[in-house]
Amino acid sequence: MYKAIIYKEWIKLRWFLLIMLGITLAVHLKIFIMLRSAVVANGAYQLWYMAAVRQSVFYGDIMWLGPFMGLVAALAQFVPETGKRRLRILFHLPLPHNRSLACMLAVGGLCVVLLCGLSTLCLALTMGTYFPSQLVTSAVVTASPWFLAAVPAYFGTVLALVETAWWRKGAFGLVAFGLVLLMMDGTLNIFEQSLGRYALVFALFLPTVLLPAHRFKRGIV
Amino acid sequence: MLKVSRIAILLLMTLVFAIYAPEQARRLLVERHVSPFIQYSSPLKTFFISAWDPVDQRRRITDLAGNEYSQTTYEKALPMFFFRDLATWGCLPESIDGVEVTLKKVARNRQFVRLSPKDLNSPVVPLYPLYESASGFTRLKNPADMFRITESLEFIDTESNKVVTDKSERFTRALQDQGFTFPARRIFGNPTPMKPFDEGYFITDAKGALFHLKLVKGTPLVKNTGLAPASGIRYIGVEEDSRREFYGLMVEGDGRASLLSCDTYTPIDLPIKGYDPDSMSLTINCDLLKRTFVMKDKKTIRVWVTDRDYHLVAKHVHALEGKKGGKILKRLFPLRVIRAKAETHFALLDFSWSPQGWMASLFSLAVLLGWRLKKREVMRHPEDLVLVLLTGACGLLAVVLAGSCEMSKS
Repeated sequence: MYKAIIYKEWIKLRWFLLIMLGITLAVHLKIFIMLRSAVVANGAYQLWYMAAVRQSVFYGDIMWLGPFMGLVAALAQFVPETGKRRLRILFHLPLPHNRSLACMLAVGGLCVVLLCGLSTLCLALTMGTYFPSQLVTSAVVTASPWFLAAVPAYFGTVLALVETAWWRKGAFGLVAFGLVLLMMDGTLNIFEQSLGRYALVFALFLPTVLLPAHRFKRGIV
Repeated sequence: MLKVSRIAILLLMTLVFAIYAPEQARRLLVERHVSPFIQYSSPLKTFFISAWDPVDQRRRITDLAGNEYSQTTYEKALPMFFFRDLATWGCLPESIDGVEVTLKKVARNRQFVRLSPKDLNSPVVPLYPLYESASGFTRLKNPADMFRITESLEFIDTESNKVVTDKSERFTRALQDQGFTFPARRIFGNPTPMKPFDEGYFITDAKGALFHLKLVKGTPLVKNTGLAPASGIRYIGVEEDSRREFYGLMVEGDGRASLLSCDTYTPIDLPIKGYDPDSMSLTINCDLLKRTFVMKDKKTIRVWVTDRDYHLVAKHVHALEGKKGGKILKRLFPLRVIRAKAETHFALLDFSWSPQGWMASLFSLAVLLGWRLKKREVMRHPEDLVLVLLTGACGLLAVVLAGSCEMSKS
């Protein structure tokens, strides 16, 4: 049964994943071209000075990639399910609905994690081409909260889609957007001391979908 | 599991409301706040306070006796600060306390040093440019490499992004020859090229000893300063000033602040008392006649004035009025989630409970109980009562929005 659910999710996600993969690579290619042209035009020292002393962030273009991936993955997975209340079919499978839902979320979450991981790798490779390990580490630390913002974006969208009452959909959407906004800061290493705390808070999202799903199943508004 | 899911939703909602609601309320309650500016007048031997008068809605300039001054009289009383205006008006005094005063001398003897808690709590990228300090040119030339220092000192060529082995070995050996023990603990310097000359970097070694590193005609110049405070060195704000009296302000691990003398590395003790670098800002204003030390926190501004040899001349303590908005916020929100503070550049996620918010908590709890009583479900979700008691209106809003996991079709 799990294999069937995973296959179903894969069918829903695959084209969106391909598009998001293309967007991710295109954004990183743009950053690479921008860095290369700056090195050729002004010399590498100027760029190093800007990065290390002036603490400039050259890769702000990837800031919204994580939340965008979370949003798109959630929409791709749950718009087909919640339209015409198809999600109710899931609740009639010979599997506890909590498990089937967790399986769906795990597939979606894994896709987002893989895309964010790939984006982090691209960032490290791009920065590593022109900068030493200190600046690569600092770039990854700076970008980590942006990717962590994929968690509220993904789960917030799922919550809003699965929820039955329109006003609660709005509330979940606003709460998730509020949490995403917290992480969207383009200052170098600003979350160095508190990223773990934010990650712990975002871990609270893991069980949240069960309640709206329960209301969806029972038709409670 | 449904209960866990609901509690997680409640906590997330409460968190978001406890972040954004107090921030917006603070903006609504904002008041005009201009920090008082306190200066010592060398000719009149008294302090002048330029502060915002909330009643008259204007800036008032007074002395300690409460006499009010016009801007012109004020500037004439502070010739070391407003010397350019005084020179324009043709009334710069010829001498004060037997010291000859000229525009050039006053300008050349001015130096301003500032350290705020944010300077100590900021992200750092451990890569530094080392400028040639004896190039013979007036402007500093950008080097072709930058260095990092941990287990050894390594220069990295910026064009190839590779370690420059021979230069790195030369500098590492130069440090070791002077008794430097790797790994380095901390490094302090002024990495900008926009300065009249370069004084290199101060580096503390594994034993806490302070070394001075410079690049002189292509070769490393390392000096053991002989300083190794037991509490360690937390900060040196290196500042290349043409007065060449001190390298900069030094703060030790225990909060003791001093100025690091040029060439001899002797710490000049400051007259200040009770300095906490994590919560107070410190400014040092040097001029032709005196040194002024201003220490400021949220409650007070303390000023010490010394002569040029750092002997105390006068001191003054000025109490600051607390902001009304802050008090109201504490009463309105029993829980506030703080993600930024004036004392640090880093993002935070700190939970601040205010006992003053007990009335808001009880009021929110009463609203919730009243609502539940009306629906005859007082004991449904007892965890809601605890949440609202602890977080007030933010928790109440979360409870209202999260809904129930029971069959109540509300």
